[in-house]
Order: sequence, then structure tokens, then C-alpha cells
Amino acid sequence: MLFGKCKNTFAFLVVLALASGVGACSDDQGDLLFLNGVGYRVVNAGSLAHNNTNVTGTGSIVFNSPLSSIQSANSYALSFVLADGGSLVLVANSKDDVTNGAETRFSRSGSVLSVKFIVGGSETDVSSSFTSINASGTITLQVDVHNNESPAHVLAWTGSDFSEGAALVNSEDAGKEVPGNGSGTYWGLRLTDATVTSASVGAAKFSE
Amino acid sequence: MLALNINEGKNSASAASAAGALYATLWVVLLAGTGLMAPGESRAQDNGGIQTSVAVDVVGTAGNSLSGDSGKLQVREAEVIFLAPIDQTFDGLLNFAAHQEQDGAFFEIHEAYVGSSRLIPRSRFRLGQFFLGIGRLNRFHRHDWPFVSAPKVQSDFFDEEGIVDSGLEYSWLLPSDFFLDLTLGVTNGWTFGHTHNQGERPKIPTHYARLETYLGLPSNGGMQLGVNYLGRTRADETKQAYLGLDLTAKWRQARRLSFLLQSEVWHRWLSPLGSETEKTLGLYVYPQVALSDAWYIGLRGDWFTVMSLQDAGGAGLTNGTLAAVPTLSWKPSEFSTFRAAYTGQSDYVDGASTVVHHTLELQATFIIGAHPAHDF
Repeated sequence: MLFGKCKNTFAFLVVLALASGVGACSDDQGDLLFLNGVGYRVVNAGSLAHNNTNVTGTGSIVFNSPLSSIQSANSYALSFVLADGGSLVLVANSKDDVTNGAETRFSRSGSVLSVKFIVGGSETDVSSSFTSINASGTITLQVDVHNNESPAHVLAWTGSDFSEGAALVNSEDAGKEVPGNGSGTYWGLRLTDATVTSASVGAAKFSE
Repeated sequence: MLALNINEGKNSASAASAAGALYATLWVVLLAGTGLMAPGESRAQDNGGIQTSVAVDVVGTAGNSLSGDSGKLQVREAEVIFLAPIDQTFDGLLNFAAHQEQDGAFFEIHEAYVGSSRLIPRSRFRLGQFFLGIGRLNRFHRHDWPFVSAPKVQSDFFDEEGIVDSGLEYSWLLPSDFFLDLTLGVTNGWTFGHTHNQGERPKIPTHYARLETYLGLPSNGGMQLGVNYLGRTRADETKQAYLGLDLTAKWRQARRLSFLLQSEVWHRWLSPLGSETEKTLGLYVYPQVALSDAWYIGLRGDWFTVMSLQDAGGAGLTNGTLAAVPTLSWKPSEFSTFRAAYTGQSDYVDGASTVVHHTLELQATFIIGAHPAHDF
């Protein structure tokens, strides 16, 4: 009796493991490039120019190392400069072609920085939270995207105090909600007349 | 699972007397909370069948904690539970809980349901809000777990404590010559896991099933085995499916739990619309031995991996999380427990360790009053 139950349990575990399998590999993307040691691949070459310390121009890139899972919380450190009329989109939890992600779009008009959260066709304008930033200079931000919450929870900071109270924007505040979730394990950037000098990902700076 | 029929055999209270007792008990709890009564007077009283209890869970954490609340001792949760027969057929439970958030304690209804094991032969059901009757940890409040914090597979799949939702759960004791119990449930599925918003109407609500059996083992031992399934399709058409196996084995000598083995393995398929399915597998194993009638020591091992993880070039990546959690418990009685636990956890990708956590946790839990009995 006991042996029979154990055998059934073992069989269940084997079926569980076999049923899951490992996903098939997809086609390779472009060559592996590096930005300050962080590997990435070009999705849309556009007019992008690359060296080891910056990416500049218009186009899109995906970082080579995936996030830990779709429903993960991560923090992105970004440093960038926008030409007047230019923009940079941080695409978190996306597919490897930098689509289907939870997007945070930074765009410049003169010295004014406009910021939107975008998922699918929906967007939320949170520019009013970024009036303290001069868009004509180098912009350095730490952005948490918690895709393990529904909808995704985004916070952004400029300094080193990563508390909820110190955040420039907290998407849990009324009227600032992210309109959904990203649906992949990659992250990347879409540049339009922008220069990115630093981009890296780490553990979420803030947790509930 | 919380037992609703612990007052069977007593005269059932009428709805009116139960309501009166409920108000009286609420006053007792409120007065005790404001200091107008001595602590000893806040004990539960059996007024017409109402069982009342207070459960408090205090946790202190040090090290590079996974939860981000290191360096603090705080009341993780405090619960007030009312449990009683409603009439000759139905039982009711109400559980208020306060838990810590970043900006202070948050008070909410944890569980509130009506149920019965007397309405339909060989059956019992619950209607209302409750912890879903799947797996092992999900069916117990966190202060009743044999360790301090959730293993990664639990916290990633079902949040830090478990999935609470509102719906209907039905259990049927199958007419077999050995113990076989089937539980089926459907809940709203607007939310899944801890949240303070109402969520969104899902395409397919949360639905689940659990088939459970029990085996007697030599030397006064016993083992409970459960096979579990849960599914849901979110408003954004992301499909979630979980398949799991839980095992709990106990050996007792008189009142002493001389050996405990508790384990769960879960597999999740997560399929966002237009994206590849993410396949994740995780488990924990927790053996615990008694050092005496009051002292216990255990070692939990956790493992977790995303089986479908690839880099942006399409190359598969071996990855995972490994953790070891030695836990020392002192249980002077059924109503108080003190624990010390260390967690060493390492995340790795392609053989390289990416993040290492070392966390020390101290826990004190106590129960005042008539805490309902759990099953095996």
C-alpha cells in the first residue's frame, strides 16, 4: 500500500518534470554589444551609434540577460541625455523584440520633461511628478518596475533615498496608475535622438 | 483547514443569542485593547458557543533581508477570530487581521464565511472569503506554520502568506475503502495575492481542485498527501495554471511531535497573451525533529527555477534559487511559540551566483483564547 502510494507520487513528479520541458531556442538576434559592461543586442538599428560607454541616436536595443521571471520586481538605473524633441523609453518585462512591455517614456520639450506610463495602447501622463528635473541636462534616475503586482507598480527616484516618500512618482497614487503589466522577461530601451550613458538592472529598491 | 464544527454536541446557539454574544465579545476585546481591562480579563468566553481568539505574530529580522524590512522588530500580524455555530445547520467564522505595511498597520477582513458539514451527506462547504483549500501552507495562517517565512515557491506563486479570495468551496469525502477527499472551489479571481485594490474582472475566475488522501505509517505515524490544481485567466488574458503536490508526515509520542516532514512541489505555467509561456518549478522540504517536549529543530531546503528562461540571443539559461533555513523552535504550549531561523539564499544564473542573502529571523507567536483546531 505504502509502496504503491510512493510509486504514484514519484510518477507524478516525473510527469510534472516531463510535461514542463524547456522552451525551444528562438533565432539569435544581432551581435552582442556592451554598454559599460552590460550586454545588449540591437533590435532596430535605426541611426544608433555605439561604443562601450554610450549608445546614441534613434533605434531600439534589448539587454541580453533576462529578468528573473515575468512576474518579477526590478530596479533600473538610467543616465541619459535627450536632444530637444527626443525621447527615451524604458521597456520593462518585454518580449525580446522590446514589445509587450511596461513602458516608461521620457520625452523632452525645451527644459520640460514629459513622462508617461504606457502598456499596450493605454497610457498615463505623470509629467506633473517630474517638474523638478531640467530636461536639457543629463538625467539620472532609478526606476523600480514591480511587474509582480497587478497592475505593475512603478516608482522613480533621483537621489539615494529609495523610500516611498522620496519617490518622484509612485504609480500607486491616484491618477498615476500603470495601465497594465509587461508580459515578458526582457528589458530594453527605445531611443529617439537620445544618448544613454548608463543602464543597468538590479533588485527592486523598494518592497512593500 | 479551520474546523467549523468544534462545538458539535453542544446546544446550538440561536442567531439572536449568538449576535448578543458577538457584541459582548467585541466589547471585551475593545476594552482590553484600550487598557480598561486587565489583560487576564480579555480571555475568550464561551457565551452560547462563540469561540474567540486573538493570534499575534511578532517578527524581527536582521541581515540583507529578502523582504526589505531588515533591522526591525514588528508585529507582523495580529488577528481576532470569532467562530461559532450559526444554527443547527451552519457555522460561521469571522477573522479580522492587521498586518504591517510600509506606512503602518493595515486592518482588514482576512476571512469571513459561512459553512456546513451537516447539510449534505459526506460533504462540507464554505461560502464567503477564505484561504483557498489547496496545498499545505495555503490552508494555514502564517502563525501556524512550522517556520517563520514563506519559501520562495510559496511567496512567488501565492504571495507571502497565501491566496485569499471570495467564492464557494465544496469538499466531498469519497465513498472509498480508504480516505479520499476531493475539494473543488471557484472564487472571484479579480485579484490573486496580496493587494489593496479591487482588481479587474478576470476572463476566467480562479478555480481549483485538491484530491487528498491519508496513510497510516508504522510507529504511530501518519502521512497526508494532496494533489492540487489551480487555474485562472486574468483580465489581460494572461493564463495562469498551477499543478502541485503536498506531503505532510508526522510521528507522535504522546503529545510530542517527534518527527515532522513537510514538503510541497509546484509547477506554474504563465502564458501572457502574445508571449511565450513561462514554466516555473519550485519546491521546499522541511524535516523537523523534537529535541524535547518543547524544543524542536528543523532544516528547510528550497529550490526554485524558471525552466524556460533564455537570454536575448535565444540561449537557454540554467538558473534558480537555493536556500537553506535552519529553524529552532521553543513551544512551551500550544498557545505560544518562539523561533530563531537563519536563511541563506543564493540566486544563480548559468552557474554564477548573482545574489546572496543572509537573514536572521526571530519570531514570537501567541494565541489568547480558543484557537480553532486544524486538521492533520
